[in-house]
Amino acid sequence: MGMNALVAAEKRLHRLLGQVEEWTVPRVRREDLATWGAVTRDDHLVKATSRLGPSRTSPMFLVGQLQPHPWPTLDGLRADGLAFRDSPGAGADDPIAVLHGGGRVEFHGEVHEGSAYHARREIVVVERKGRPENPFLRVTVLTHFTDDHGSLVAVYEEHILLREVQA
Amino acid sequence: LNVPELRFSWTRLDLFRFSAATGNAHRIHYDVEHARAEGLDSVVVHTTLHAVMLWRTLTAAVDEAKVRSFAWRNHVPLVADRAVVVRGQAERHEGGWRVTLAEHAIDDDTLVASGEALVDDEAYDG
Repeated sequence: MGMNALVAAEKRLHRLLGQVEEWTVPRVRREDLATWGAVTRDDHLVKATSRLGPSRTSPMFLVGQLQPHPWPTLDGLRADGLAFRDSPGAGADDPIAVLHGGGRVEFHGEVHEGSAYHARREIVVVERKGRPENPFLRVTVLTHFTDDHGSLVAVYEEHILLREVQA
Repeated sequence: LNVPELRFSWTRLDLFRFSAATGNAHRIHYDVEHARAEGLDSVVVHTTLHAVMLWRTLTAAVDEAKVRSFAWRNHVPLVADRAVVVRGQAERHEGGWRVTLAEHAIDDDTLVASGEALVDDEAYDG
């Protein structure tokens, strides 16, 4: 059953290749940066947000806050809690586990308090990996972040792994 | 360029807070029973937090505005409360630096995640 689910997921993913999803990262508030600093235990950033003057940080903030706005409603989540849009190709009832394998970020600018950002995300590669008896899918997703003026801030390439859930 | 090692350990409370802050409802990060049903020993550290640990170690040594690219790979899941150490090594590369990073579990030295960054001598914001 799992293998069939993986084949079905692969077919869905090939249909999704090249489709673009776009969203706006709302204007970055000082408290957003403070929250990011708090949950990543970045004391330097937390302290910086308590000083006078606008704060800034690296685009790792955008990578970490990748959840597109608005948040999905409950019917936009799989049974495992993962949003459908973060588990491309995996259907609601498929015995498919979704994991992130890693990523790569190119940096072109900083993230500034008070600025909004535009994100453009696209599935660019779908590959079957692993041994024949234990295959998985590796999905490469590319997200470009630009600022209010259209200038490129960062390019994030993430690798999402889909594998059948072991019974 | 000397990259000091940093140690991290994330509690279940830390992971819950990170999930909440990033709008991530994936149950493997806060629901122990669900995580076990997926074959994991407990709730697991988010992939982005692995990136954060490597990134924090990198930027303890270099100005983050000089980092041109940063890549990381997760090798095995890391469960809550399992401590890790991140170490980095830098070598000269095309007028800047190439920094390789490795995150190991402290208890048995398992390689949990690894990464690489290319760092320039000039900041991108000038």
